[in-house]
Amino acid sequence: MNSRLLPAAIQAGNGIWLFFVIYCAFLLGIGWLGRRARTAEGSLSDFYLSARSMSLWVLLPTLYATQYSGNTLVGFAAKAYRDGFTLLVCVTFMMGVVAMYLLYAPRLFALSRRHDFITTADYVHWRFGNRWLTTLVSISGIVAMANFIISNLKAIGVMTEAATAGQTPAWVGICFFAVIILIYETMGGLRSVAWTDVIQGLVLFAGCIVIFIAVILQAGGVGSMIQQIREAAPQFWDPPSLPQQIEWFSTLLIISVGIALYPHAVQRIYAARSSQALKKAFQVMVYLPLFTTLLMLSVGWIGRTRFPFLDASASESITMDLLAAIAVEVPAIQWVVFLFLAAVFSAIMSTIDSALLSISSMITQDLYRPVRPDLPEKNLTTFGKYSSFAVMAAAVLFSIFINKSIYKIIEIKLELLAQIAPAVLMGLYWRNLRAAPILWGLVIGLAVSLFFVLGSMFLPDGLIPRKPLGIHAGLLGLIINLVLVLLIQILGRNRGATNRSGLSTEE
Amino acid sequence: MTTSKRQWLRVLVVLVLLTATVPWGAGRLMSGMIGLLPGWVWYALILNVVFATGTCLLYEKWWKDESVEKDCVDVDDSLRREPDQ
Repeated sequence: MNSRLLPAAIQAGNGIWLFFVIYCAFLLGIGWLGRRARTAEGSLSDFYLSARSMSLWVLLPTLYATQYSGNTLVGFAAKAYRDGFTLLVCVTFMMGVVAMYLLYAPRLFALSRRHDFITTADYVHWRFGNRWLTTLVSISGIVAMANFIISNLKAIGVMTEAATAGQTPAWVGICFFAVIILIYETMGGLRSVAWTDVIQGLVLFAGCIVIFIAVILQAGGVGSMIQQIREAAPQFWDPPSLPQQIEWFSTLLIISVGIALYPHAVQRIYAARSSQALKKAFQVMVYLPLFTTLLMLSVGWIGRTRFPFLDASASESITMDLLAAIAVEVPAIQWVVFLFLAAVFSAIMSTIDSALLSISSMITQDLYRPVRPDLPEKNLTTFGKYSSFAVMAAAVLFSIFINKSIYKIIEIKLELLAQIAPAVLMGLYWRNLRAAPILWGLVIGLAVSLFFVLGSMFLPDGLIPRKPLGIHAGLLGLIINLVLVLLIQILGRNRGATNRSGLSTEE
Repeated sequence: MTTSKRQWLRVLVVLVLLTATVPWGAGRLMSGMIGLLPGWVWYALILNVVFATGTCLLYEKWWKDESVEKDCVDVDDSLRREPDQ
């Protein structure tokens, strides 16, 4: 996003910092309320899971705000501008995420109540009893979430610079918002994060609806809009080719699996007050891509009629360009630009705070607690807060000073998370499944995914493809992961090495 | 094959058939009647609505507290083991 087309009213920076300050003061107030609402002082469950008491009215917006990031408003529209109607797959994969939850959330929720799980790796350890596997699952989650934080901090810096017409350097925005997030997160843990998500989720949802309506009205209605798109980009009418269709399915699978296993999403499953609240939240969630993703894709398509010749880089700011053009024509709706900025900042902040809390819980519960098993929970919670400070400080430094070639590495997120799927899903349904097949599947799956992703980034062009066989590297890794799990499990069983629980050989 | 597995398979086959045929037919119909968008875009749009509604209904059908609780007791019992060494 750049500042070249921000409307004058916004570019002058009039009120934008005032808006930031009021908005952040509001978030801090909510964080403080979250602190006052603590039920069990210092317990991990209270800090990281809001004492497992989240009602539907908190659960739904927090799941929503967590699942959608700044990329929904900025990235999806830009891709739709470039690739046309084929981007409709984005709506399907956001629904696919909710369908994936159905496969594991009911059982995992019930088990989490019986065994007091805090993290995904907690469940994996309870299920397989293998410390190596637990640690690897946890580290995969930590790395993926750290990448999320760095990329979103980077985005918030760019947005701050754009919103203030370059008057505020990116690093100031990064530091300012990082401090705000840290304060409200460490004050009340998940309770504060989820309550701020309610506000951020509402702003995001309202932003998508209002932006879409403003853009449609300006285009002269739906019929006129489609006609204009047809004239500006007749190639959008071409059906997707076979390689594109393969890529569709690949995208659908890798994103559905990867996002459904976000560690912070799993935490929200544990934090639900009841299974009914969780079920209802997911039943509403499955329709939200129609009111969020689809609307932002439409904005990208309409953008094509106004600015037909933008290159890939310039098209990244298509939503802002479009709103700026409309605001110039109809000054009365300049507030929509503010709403867009508010929605983007909300989406980014809700992603960072959730990922940060999730990392803190994984470091504390999965890595530190096994080393200090006798430490009281209060001390562990304090350690978790310190770890949040350390992680945020490192992420801020990375996002400000990171080398451009290394920056590519932070794109690796879903490739890592998808490899955890067999441990979570198959572990819930396959009673005799042992730890060894899952561990080997995970190791090889991660190795294959990273080989292709890193190879395509750092080796000479074309030597290693980013998408082997036309599918995502993470999906290829997952397929190999699954095949290995099946093979090792079946071969091991044939050798008679398993007992009923299948765990004696692993210990 | 157990009854539960057979039920899963039946639901899966019905879902695949419904997903492949209903939105495709509806997409052709919409494209013919309303026009505006090409048939495959109507298909994708209707498919998304069908997918969302199907998922919502499956949540209602499969996520029943009693059955999930019973599953968890079974899983719990079958996985009960000595603590990690």
